[in-house]
Order: sequence, then structure tokens, then C-alpha cells
Amino acid sequence: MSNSKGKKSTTRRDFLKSGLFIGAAATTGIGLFSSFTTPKETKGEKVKVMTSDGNLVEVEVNKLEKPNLPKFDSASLDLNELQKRGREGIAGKKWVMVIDLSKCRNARKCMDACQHAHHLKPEQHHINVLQMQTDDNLAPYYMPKPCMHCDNTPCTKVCPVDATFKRQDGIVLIDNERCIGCRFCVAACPYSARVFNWSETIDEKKDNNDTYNIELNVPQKKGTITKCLFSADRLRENKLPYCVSACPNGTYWFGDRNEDAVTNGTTGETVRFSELVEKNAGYTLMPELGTKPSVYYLPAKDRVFDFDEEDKKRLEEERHHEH
Amino acid sequence: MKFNIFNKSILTGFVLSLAFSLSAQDNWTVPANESGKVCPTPFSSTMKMDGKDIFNKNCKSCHGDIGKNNFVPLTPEPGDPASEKFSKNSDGDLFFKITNGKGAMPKFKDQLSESERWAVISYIRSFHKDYTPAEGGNETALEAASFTGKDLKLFVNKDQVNLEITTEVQGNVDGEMVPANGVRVGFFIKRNFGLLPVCEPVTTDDKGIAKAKFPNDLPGDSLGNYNIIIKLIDDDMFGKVEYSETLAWGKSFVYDNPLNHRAMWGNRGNAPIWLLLAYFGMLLSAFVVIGYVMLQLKKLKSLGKK
Amino acid sequence: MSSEKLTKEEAKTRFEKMVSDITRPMTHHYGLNVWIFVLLMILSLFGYAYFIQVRDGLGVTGMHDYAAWGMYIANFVFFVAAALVGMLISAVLGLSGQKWITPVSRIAEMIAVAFAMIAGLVIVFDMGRPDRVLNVFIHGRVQSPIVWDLTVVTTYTIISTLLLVLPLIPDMAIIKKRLTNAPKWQMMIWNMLSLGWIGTPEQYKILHRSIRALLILIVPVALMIHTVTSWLFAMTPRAGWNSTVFGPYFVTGAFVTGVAGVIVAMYFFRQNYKLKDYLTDFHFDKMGKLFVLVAMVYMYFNVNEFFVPGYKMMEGEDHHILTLFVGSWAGLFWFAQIFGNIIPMFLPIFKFFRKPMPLMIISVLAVLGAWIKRYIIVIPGQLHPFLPVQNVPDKFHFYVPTGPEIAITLGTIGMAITIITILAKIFPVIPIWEVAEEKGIDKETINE
Repeated sequence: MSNSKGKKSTTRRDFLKSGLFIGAAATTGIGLFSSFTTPKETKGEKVKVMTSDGNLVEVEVNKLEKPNLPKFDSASLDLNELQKRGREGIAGKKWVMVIDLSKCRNARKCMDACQHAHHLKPEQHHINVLQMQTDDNLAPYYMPKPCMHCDNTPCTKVCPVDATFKRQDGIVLIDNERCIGCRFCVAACPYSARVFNWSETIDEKKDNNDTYNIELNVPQKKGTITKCLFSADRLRENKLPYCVSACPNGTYWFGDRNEDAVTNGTTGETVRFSELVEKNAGYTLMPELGTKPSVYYLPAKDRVFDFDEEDKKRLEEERHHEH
Repeated sequence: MKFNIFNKSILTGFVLSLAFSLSAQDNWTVPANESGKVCPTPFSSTMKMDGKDIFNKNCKSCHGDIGKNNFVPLTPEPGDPASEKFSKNSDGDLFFKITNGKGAMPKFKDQLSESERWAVISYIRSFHKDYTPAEGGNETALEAASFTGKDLKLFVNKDQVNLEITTEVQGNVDGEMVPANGVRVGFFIKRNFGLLPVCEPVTTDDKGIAKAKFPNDLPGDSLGNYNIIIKLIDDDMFGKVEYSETLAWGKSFVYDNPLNHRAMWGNRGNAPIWLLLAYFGMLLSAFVVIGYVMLQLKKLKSLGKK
Repeated sequence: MSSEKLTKEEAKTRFEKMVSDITRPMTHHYGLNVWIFVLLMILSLFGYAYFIQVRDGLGVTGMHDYAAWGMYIANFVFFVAAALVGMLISAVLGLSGQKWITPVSRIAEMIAVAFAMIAGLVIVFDMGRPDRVLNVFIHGRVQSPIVWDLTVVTTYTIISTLLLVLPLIPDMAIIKKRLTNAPKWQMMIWNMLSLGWIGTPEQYKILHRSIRALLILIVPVALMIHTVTSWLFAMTPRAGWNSTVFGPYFVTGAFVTGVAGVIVAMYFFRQNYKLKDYLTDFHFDKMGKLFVLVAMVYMYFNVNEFFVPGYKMMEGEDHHILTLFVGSWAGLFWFAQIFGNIIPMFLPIFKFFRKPMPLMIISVLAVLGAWIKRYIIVIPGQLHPFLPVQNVPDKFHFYVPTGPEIAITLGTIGMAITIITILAKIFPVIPIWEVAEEKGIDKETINE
């Protein structure tokens, strides 16, 4: 990424120069061509490493775990630094969320915390607690729905300008300094996870002078996309996401799949991720789409709270109205 | 800032709980046959400690730390289980309420087993000064920690072959270090957002010894290193006693940066080769033909000048 | 058609009459002022609406998070479809040796150029941040269908423009010698585009060779322009868009739109430009038959597109199909299917309906149906995502275009028509030299 950033000015010049005599279509090609660099796969020096079960494996030196990055105070960083570290992500991590549907009782503290942190309007949801009932004979339940941070992302595939992109720790971020507002990603997302700033944002005037933090997507900008970021800014400070820590009911578990551990945002309890999803029959949403989500759900079995009666009635009406 | 809010909530808590203890106390009626229920086993210190853990996981988020009156200010308020309002409930009342829930209070019928629910009650009862065990002979719940020494210390012995750690806990009793019996030791591995317990807390035997086996299948870093932390669970009684070390007992985890691979979802530097070839190939062929036509036109023009 | 040997004098008289017939509308402006006034009104209305949209954001449209693409994108698809016609008429029929197409081909090319040029702009008007349009060149990702689409639309525009300009070369030479009273700038354009044409056999050879190369090139490019446009939808996992036949479905749909568009334009020029001798009943008859053919092919894909998912009624698809066939979208859906496909497939089978007037009426309705078809391809699929639409304002369950949105859409159509108007004013709408050759007039007379 840093590579193509460095080439930015050259590319623009190429664009203008070539545009003069070849024409716009050719420019698309040339403009693009100059930055299709191969991935930076440095075939570095290798060392032999003994694994715990006694096997000797060969590992590239630069793939060995790096020490944690020094922590910066976000406020003191300039836009370029924030953009750079935001696009790279945190090395060695693969964030996962586990949502225990048996615990959710539609308290919506997650939604409040999220909207507050990301300066969103009441109808803009990075995380949305949905009332689900797929069949008349099945019980309704509450389902918080953040961005799935898919590993086979329909949204980043279609973005024409790398304004939404996946970073190495698995988070799908948005760069509203680059977004052109085509909304192709909204069309492509099967989870309806993306929202657009259709008009002036809620804190536009107030936030205007703040440096844009790509990991928080604040200030929000009119004409660009916003969506759940797994609170990338909090993760950088080793803190749990806003929604996870705001939940009063222990619904959320969050952690690093590479460590095989997730921590409950309410109780602070840490468990093995693999055991949690195995013992509770964890699943992902719409696996048939092949999106490979990073958000796992535990079924709404043995629920702690009953589904609200009024919600139940409304949901029934909604379902029957549709057909 | 935080402290202020805390204080305020405690104050409001007090005022509200005073008001509520008079009026709201009897709002939740428990059937008589349930009210008389008692725990089938006597309350014990182990049970109380289990109850504490269960309480912290399931109840603390609303009820706060027992005795500190720092419950969440909801309406109706959850209340502090150490309060008089709670102590006036019979064991059966508490059991019924935990089991069935009401309004904002969840029902724990399917979440906690009966013995777990009783354990929580035994823990709550340890805060009720006037509590007398119900008919049926519960042991005293006010039993103190079994070890009364001070300045506890951990001594750690590692078994590199079996990945087992033996901890000896000693404490100062009358100026002499003696093995600490009945002290709960927790064995953890450090993870990003918290400590992962490798097993339930182990209570030391009469030699002050607690053992735990560590997993070899938990991912560590590329060399299989993980950070272990051994500490006393009841730090409110013994103070913070902790031991930590980095051990290469885990599974080696070699990080493969997904951004080093070409993918359709990747950034433009990672576009699949075949796609680049197809795109630029087609673009080039189209413009070769267009270029050819342009040259032909030039020729055509020069023919006209002759 | 008439290939009897003409004497030199006969040929000359006939040719001069032909030139004056075809070029008369270029110098005599019947009702042009009124027409230009109407177009200017539309364009200024557009300007005002777009100003509001840029100032206040896309929130002034009816779009929201559950209908993130609205009328603009539907209109874009329509523009691409309309642009495709140049390829069908000039390339496919031309290459297969259909001589009757000669007088129609320039009209088709003018429509293609106008709509292809504006199609790219339509996308810009849909963008939340039009000021960042250059990002597509600076940061373009080759994995994105939008980049393919912009590339192929631009390429197609260039090729169509060349295909319009190349057959103009001899005509420019003819006109600049005859319409000497024209304004200076017009003379300059004619002179420049005539490329020093004197009609030597070698020049003819080069011209034919170049046109042929472009005709061959435009076939795959034109197929791609609409296939790629269909991929904007088909590459997403949404019910209603997640279809493997979307490419050919769009292409065949575009053929219907294109043929209808050309028939409308032919009728207009025939009446207004008094070109009855060149755009004859015979041409309308042929176009009517072509209309039936393309509508039949389109019907084949239409059936595939709806019958296959309708048979399975899979989750998501079921809902989509029910809302279209019998639900809230049924009115628009059946209008589009009946007027956009069924009627063009059946009525022109009868000779009466292949006469200019009836065929024109069928075509106008088919163009309207085609536009509505794009609308119901783009919008209903988004209103019923996989997960329920909850905790949002009620209006997020519907999509209703607003005033500025409609004004901007009309504006883009106005722009395309403006371009066609301008092209038809400075260039002959019938290729003089080609038609002359077919009428048996020798090259010498033509290039005198």
C-alpha cells in the first residue's frame, strides 16, 4: 500500500501527459498500469524453529512475531501517519467477534455507544439489533448485526478506488478521504452493513477541524460511506470495541483468532475461541454466500430474556404484510 | 471524572434503596412452597467461592460489587445484594427470583444449574450479618477464608515435559512462613484482552500445593511462546500475589499476512495476474486497432495532398 | 437497388438532387429555435437541480441505505443500452452484407455516440463526491467492475466516434464544395474532417479497410459494454441480481431498446427532414422485421431470467419474483414486459404494423418500457435484502424519486438529444456517398 501511495504524484502526471494525446480510455490503462506493483513478498532470510510438538519448521525471519508497535496518541498524529497505520493494520492479529444470541435482550447499549463514538445519525447503524424470526413456527430472537468483516469481502472487491479495503488484521475499513461515493459497496453487501452519508453529517460543523482518523471514520463526510470498523481505534489501544464493552448482558465476545482467545465485554472473562464456538454450535450468517465472516453467532438457545411481546406482535405483522 | 459519577451513583443508590426498601420490597411475591425451599447441601467456603465467580460473571454487570452499592441505576433498580432488602428474602425467595427472573432481571433457569444458583446464594449470604442458616442445618456462611496468614508468596516449579506447573503457596503465620492451605490459585495464559484460565481455580492442599497442566495446543508466537500468569484468586483477602513468565509451551503460530497474496478482494497492488493480463490485454488490443486506423487516416490525408 | 446504367448527365442530376435533399435541413432550420429553447429549458432545469444536489448531498434524492442505487443507475443502464444500437445496425448488419441498412446507419451511429458520451456523465451525477472523479484514474482497481465499465464505455465512445467520422469523410468533401454559404466555423469543421478527400482508388481502399477494421472491433467492445454493465449487478450476491444470464439478458434487451430508438429517430428525421425518398417504407418494413427478431431473442432470455428462479423459489428470490409479478411492482413490471417485449415481438409480424406510423408508436412505447425495465431491475432487488430492514425510518422501505432527481435524469436525456441535434445540424443524417453508390452513381460523379 505504501508503495502505491508513493507513486501517487507520478500517476497523476502520467495521467495528464498521456491524456493529451491518447485519450481518456487509454489513460485509464496507463494510470492504472503504473501502480500495479507485485505484492511486497520479500523472500527474506529463513530460520529453523522448533515447535512445541518437536517438529522443526523453517520460517522466514520477517514472518516471526514482531514486537508490539509503540503506542501513539492519535491526537498528535498527522493525517498521513494516521492513514498509513490505519491502512496497514496491526500485524499478527485476526480479530473475531462472537455474539451470544441467548444473552441479547435488545438493550441497545451497543448501538448507542457505537453511534456516539462514530458521530452517527439515529438512523445510521454500524451495529443494528435486529428482531429475527425466519418461520412462523420458530421463536423470535434479537440479533445484533455489525459488519461481518468477511474474509472474502463482496464490498472491497467492487470498490473502484481502494477506498474500502481489508487490512492485515482482517478489519474492513473505509477511507472517506478517498471514497468517491459510488455506493457499489452498499449494493454488494449482503448483510446491509453499510450506510451512506446522504446529506450533511450530524457533527459536520463541529468536527470539521479534526484530523480524520481512518480507524474511527470521524469526522464523517457528506457523500461518503461509513460502516462498522470493529473499533479499530480502540483495538490499537488494546481495548475492546465500543459496542462490546457497552453491553450489559454479556452478549459479546471479542478477541484474536490467532491467539484462539476471546474476551467477554461485560464480564471480562476470557475463553478459548475454538471451544466457545464448538461447545455452543457457533455459526456464521449466510455461509452459503461464501463470504467467510469474522463474526460468529451462538444460537439463541436457553435464552436469559424473553422476547418482548410487543416486538413479537409487530414482527408478526411485518412478516404477514410482506406475503 | 469517573470517580464523581461513581460517587453520585452510590449516593443516589443509597437514597433510592432506602426509599425502595420500604415500598418495593414486596412487589415480587414468591409462592409459599418456593419460599420455604432450602439448599440441599450445607453452604461451605468452596461453595461460597464458586458463588463469587458465578456472581461476577452473571450478576455483577447489573448488581455491581456486593457491599459497594455500585449497581447500575436502572428502573426498577437492581439493588445491592448485601442490602437489607435482600437479606429479608428467605433462601427460597432468592432461589426463586434467580431461577425465574422478572422484567430486567434475567431468568437463570437454563443458564445456571441448581447447585450454581445455590452457590450464588451462599456467596450473597456471606454478606448478611444477621443471616442464620435455615432449618435443615446449613453450615455458617460467615466462615472466613481457611488460611489466615499474611504476606503470601508463590513458589513455582515447572515440569517441562508434561507442561505442568506446581505452585507452593506460603504465608506468614506468627512470623513464620508456613504452607497456605485452602487458598485458591488461578493459572492463566495472557491473551490480548484478558487472562485465559487453563483450568478452574485450584485450592491448595495442606502442603500449600496447587498443580495445573498447561495446554500445548494453544497458539503462542512463532516460537510457541506464551505468557503464563499464576495468581491468587481472592486478592481482596490476600492482596495481589502474582507470578508471570514466558514459556515456549504453546503451538508455534506463523503469521501469514493475507495481504501478501493476490486476491480479487485485495487492494489493487494485489490484483490477480490473470485479471491484469485480461484487462490490459483487451485494452491494448482495442487500442492497437484504433492506432492502426489512425495511421491509415494519416495516410489517407497525405494521399489527398498529392 | 436500381443498378441500371446511368448516363453521365443523368447521374449528375440525380446526385445533385440527392445532395440538396439531404443537406437542405442543415441550412433550413424549421422550428429549430423552438426545439433549442425546449432543450435549453431542460438543461437549465438540470443545472439548477444538480446545483442543489451538489450543495446538499445525495440526500435530496429519494435514495437511502436500502435503495442506494436509484433512478440514476437505471438511467445509466438505459443509456448504455441505447448506445449499443450503433453496433447492431452498422456492424452486425453491415458486416453480414445487408445493403438496406446503409441510409439508417448514420442515424444509428449518432444515437450511439450521443448516448455513450453522456453515459459516463450519468455515473458522475450519481456520485456522492463528483469532485473526486479523478480518483478512479489515480487509484483505480482493476478488480472493480466500475473500472471495467468506465474503460469499456470510454473505448466504445472512441470507436463509435470514429465509426461516425470515417464514413463522413467523403460526405464532408462533397458538402464543403457545395454549401459554400455556411458559417465559417462549419466550413472549418467540414474541411478538417474531409481529410483532403479527393476520391482516389487508393483513398477508397484505405477508407474501406479502416471502416471494416472498426466494424469488426466494435462487435466485441459493444458486447462487453453491456455485459460489464450487467456485471455491476450480477457480481453482487443480492437476490434478483445474482444471475448468470444477466450479461446476454442485458445485451439482448439493449438490442430491442436500440432498434426501437433508431425507428423513432428515423421517423423523426423522415418527417422533419423530409427524407421520405431515402428513409422509405421499405426501410421501416425491414426495421420492423428486425424488431420482431431481437424481441424474440430478448424474450428467450426474459423467460430464462424469471422462470429458472421462479421455479425454485429460493429464499430471497421468491420474494423478489412475487413482488414483481403480483406484488407492489407488478404494474411497472407488466408495462415493461408487455410494451417492451411482447408487443414488439408480435405486432410487427403483421405488415400493417411495419408501416412508419404504427411502428413508430410501438417503438416509442418500447423505449419507455425499456427505461422502466431498467428501473425495476435496479430498484426492487435492493428494497428486500437478506436481513430485515429495521430501526430505520419508514420511508426506507420504499423508493420514491424526488424532483431534483427526476430533473437531473431528464437533463441527461436532454443532453443526449442536444448532441444528436447538433450532430444532425452540422452533418448529413444520410451517408450521401454510400447511398449514391448504391443508386448506381459512379465514383467520379460523387467526387467531382
